[in-house]
Amino acid sequence: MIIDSFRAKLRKEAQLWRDEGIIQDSVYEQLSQRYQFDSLEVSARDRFIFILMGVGFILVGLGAITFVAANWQAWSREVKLILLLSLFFATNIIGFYLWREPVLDNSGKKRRVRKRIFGHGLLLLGGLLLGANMAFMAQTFHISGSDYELFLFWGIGVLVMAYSLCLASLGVFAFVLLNIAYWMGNGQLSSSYSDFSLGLLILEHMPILWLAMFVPLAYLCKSRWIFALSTIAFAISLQFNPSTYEVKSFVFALPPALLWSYDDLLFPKVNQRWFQSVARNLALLFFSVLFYILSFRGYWESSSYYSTDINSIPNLFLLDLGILTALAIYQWFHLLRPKGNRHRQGIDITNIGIGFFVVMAAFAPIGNQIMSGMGFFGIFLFNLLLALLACGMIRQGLESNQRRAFWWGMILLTLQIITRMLEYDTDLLFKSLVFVLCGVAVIMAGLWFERHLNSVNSEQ
Amino acid sequence: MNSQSFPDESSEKQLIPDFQNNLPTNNKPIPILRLIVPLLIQAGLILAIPAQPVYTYLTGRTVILQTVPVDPYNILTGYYQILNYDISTKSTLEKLPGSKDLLKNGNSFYVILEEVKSTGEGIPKAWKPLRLSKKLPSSLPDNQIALKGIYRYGSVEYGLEKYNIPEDQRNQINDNISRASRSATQSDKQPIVVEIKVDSQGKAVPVSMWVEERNYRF
Repeated sequence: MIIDSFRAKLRKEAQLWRDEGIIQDSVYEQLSQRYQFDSLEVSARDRFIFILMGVGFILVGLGAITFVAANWQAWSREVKLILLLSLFFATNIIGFYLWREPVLDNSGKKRRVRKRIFGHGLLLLGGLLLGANMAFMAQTFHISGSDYELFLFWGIGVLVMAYSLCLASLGVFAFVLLNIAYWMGNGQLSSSYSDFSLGLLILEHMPILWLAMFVPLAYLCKSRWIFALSTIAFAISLQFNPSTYEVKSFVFALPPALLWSYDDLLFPKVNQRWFQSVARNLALLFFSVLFYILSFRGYWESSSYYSTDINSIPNLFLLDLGILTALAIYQWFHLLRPKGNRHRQGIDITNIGIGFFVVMAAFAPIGNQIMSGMGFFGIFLFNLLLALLACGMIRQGLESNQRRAFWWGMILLTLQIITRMLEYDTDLLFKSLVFVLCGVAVIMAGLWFERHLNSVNSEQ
Repeated sequence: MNSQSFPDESSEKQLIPDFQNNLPTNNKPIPILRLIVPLLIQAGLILAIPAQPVYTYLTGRTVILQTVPVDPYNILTGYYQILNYDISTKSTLEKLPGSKDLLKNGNSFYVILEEVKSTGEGIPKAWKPLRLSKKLPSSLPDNQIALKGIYRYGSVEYGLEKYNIPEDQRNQINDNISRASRSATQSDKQPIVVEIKVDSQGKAVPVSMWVEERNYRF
């Protein structure tokens, strides 16, 4: 639509320019060919037909839904089943055929793109219908399974389709479904270890499965969103998995260690660093959140309830942790390996700093246990680490003129100061002083940085 | 000195998925097999849901259970009746031999039921629980059967707790059930029993429900 209106405007202007003699006829012809002025009328007519057809389809669909609703009670179980199943198959097949239309076609390119979008929509609807069919089956056969299982297998079904068609949208849909399943079923995970069920087994290993199921899909679809979502889900689900209460050290240290050292090139058949920067941003985000939480007095003063009894963890989950740890070590080995002629001083400082943070994150739960009673040291240490992280980001922002790193560091530092002030019982006058100082500091630093950035940009 | 290891800001814009990348760049259409295979897997998932109940229904033995119903509402599956059985309650099972140590959260076990001969007409008699067993008994007398249950939060689940009431009969059935429940206060047991089928593995499916003299098929 927007593109069309631009082309229409351009045609009007170009005609004016030609009439006024600003451009030659040949130039006008070139413009006309490049922006396909001829097809403007055609696409306008196409759009009209498309709207007509859309309205018609919606009416037919409404009629069909009303018809089904009117007869739903009268039909037998079998008729309903066949109806739902055939709707499911029809939607997917029609959607697929519309969606797979070739893109590159010189004549009538617009309509084909629209067809693809329509087909894409139908494929998404097919994913929804899969869930509707499964819920219907469970209802008709009076299955009193848990709701989380429905979402789990629904999500897996959608994921299979996403893989096969390399569709990022279906992948995100599957991600949402699996998240619902995970958070619904997480409560049951701790209560029923004795009884084997496939659903619970999958949920128990969900942290590693997030990576195994979605990272290859992210590569297939070249979708940074799927990569970011899956790694965030991995980091969060690892924190809340009931099996991990005893191994908090691993839980705190593994996500940032894996994410910071992530390198696309370590994987076979990948020849471009698609997601490394996303992974590193997420590692920094994880550190920010973790250190912020650990810098609170509450964490260190609560008596530690972690037992270090390795035997109470399911063996298979230990295997997961082992795989992840091995992967992290492998990645770090590659990261720190000297690579010949590149000047690497700065890189090494950053990497060593992050490595130090990882070790400290692993130390936090142990420290909490051995230092019960003298939490002051822990609070001090993690406040220091948080400040270090913030300053490190500010430094990086200044050094490489990155606006985001600078501002993130500033915000983190300000947040820390204000939080500490509010957490501890301080004088009202002192509070106001801190607020004013923080505000002035942020404004000054921000103005200075933006000017600095401008001057650097204008120099280049 | 621009450090390579720090995330590059230019990635920000690219975080938005580039749908252009998803499109096949050549003009060849995607092979139909790439739809057929996942579609068949999805169909398999749909059909796998009723596979176990259908097997149990075809091979199982008919057993009658005594109930105590309640009625909540579930968003996902619409209206249904929650059926609470005589043998779902902890107090009933505690009296049985073999119940020691078994009634803990998450534990699964088998309830051995014995047939009570019905006297011809009307509502059939509910089977009587005999004992609990941790393992599936290898051989049982002809008039006994093992039913698998899981102890969860104070009650036992057998996979028979949901009965989806057909919409057109909902009011009628609910009326009947509440009438039957009220009349139960005079006698010792309410006159609602459920007919189920139990297969050799101890798994069960509900078949029909008797509310007084009426029989509703599931």
